[in-house]
Amino acid sequence: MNFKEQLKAGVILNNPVFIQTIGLCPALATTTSLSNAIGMGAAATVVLVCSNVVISLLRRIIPDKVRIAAFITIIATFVTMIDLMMQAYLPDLAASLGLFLPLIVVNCIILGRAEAFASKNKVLPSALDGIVMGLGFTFALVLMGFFRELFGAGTILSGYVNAGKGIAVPFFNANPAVMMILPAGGFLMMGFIFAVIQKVMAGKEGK
Amino acid sequence: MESSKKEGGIVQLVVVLGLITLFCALLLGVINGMTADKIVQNNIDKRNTAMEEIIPGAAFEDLNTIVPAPDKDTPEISGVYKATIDGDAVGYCLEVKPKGFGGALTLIVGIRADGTVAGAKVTAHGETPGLGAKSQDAEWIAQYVGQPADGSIAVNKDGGSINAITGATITSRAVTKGVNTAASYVAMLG
Repeated sequence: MNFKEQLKAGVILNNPVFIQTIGLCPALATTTSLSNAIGMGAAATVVLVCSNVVISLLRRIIPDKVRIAAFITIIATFVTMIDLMMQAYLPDLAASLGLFLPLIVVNCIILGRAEAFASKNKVLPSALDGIVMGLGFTFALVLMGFFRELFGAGTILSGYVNAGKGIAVPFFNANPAVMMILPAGGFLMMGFIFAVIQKVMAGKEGK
Repeated sequence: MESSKKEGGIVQLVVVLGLITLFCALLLGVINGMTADKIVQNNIDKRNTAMEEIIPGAAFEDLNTIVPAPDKDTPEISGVYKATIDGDAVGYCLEVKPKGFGGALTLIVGIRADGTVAGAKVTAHGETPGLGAKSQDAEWIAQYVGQPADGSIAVNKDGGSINAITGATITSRAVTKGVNTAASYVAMLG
């Protein structure tokens, strides 16, 4: 499988959130705005690539019986390292990501890819798998974050552009449906996106 | 795909997992040693920047005061700084830790000598992004500037004049409580 096909599979056909339905918790919790979604997606992708590479390197050494404990130790180490480094050298970014960083430890996608892919494959494909799955996860978060922020707050990219206030969208900005950035809105938005994807997929199979 | 059958005896399990955790612990120890001072310094810088924003041009003297929370409804005061401009006392900045939605907030509150709130700033928090995290917005927190520092500030839901953040009343109340606690402490200092 070449990289282009793998990318298409990871981001769309086998999207970790929308198709494999793993990593739903961060996808619901951290998508209150587009900038949060991008931050969480990027941070998870970095950890995923690092942990996939190390686990792939150690795949012949780690005994099957203790593999989960070993994977979690490695993942948690990477997350803590990145957290400490960011607090020390990028304090602003660390402040805006806040609680998301430690949450990456329990992101099922990372453990899932370690178990399903990195522990059975060579280093380079594992790194690629990390990038592709990370992009797929980021894509899913961005899609959720974009629509939730648009409907719930009426802005795009608040926190990054226009002195942190984001681009105000006419109509939506005047009539924000605050529920969409509350937890209930996360479930609603995810339901809508799942429904659209199922419809599209069903249509493809019908042809 | 390669075969991944690695059985191994009990000794191997213990040794391999032990080595991995040992290595990870050492690595984290080294990273922590490298970053700990820098993180502490960042927090001090952040506090100083916040105090400078709240009472511009003042010199701050650390009174080395910590007031532990007397009960669970009153937040801890984790620092008191006396503000002076050219030797004249102009007020105080306090660091308070009211309990928000996601744990304690760290809040810097400035109280002027004339009995009004000079300003407030959230420097650390665990609030929900997009909701409680909006307490960091300069525009929102500016509502506290000029309020009477007598402990009477309240959010609109509780009959006060502070517009609570939509969907984050708990955070808004926490900030309000923090400002009030700081105000009461300064009133006590006289």
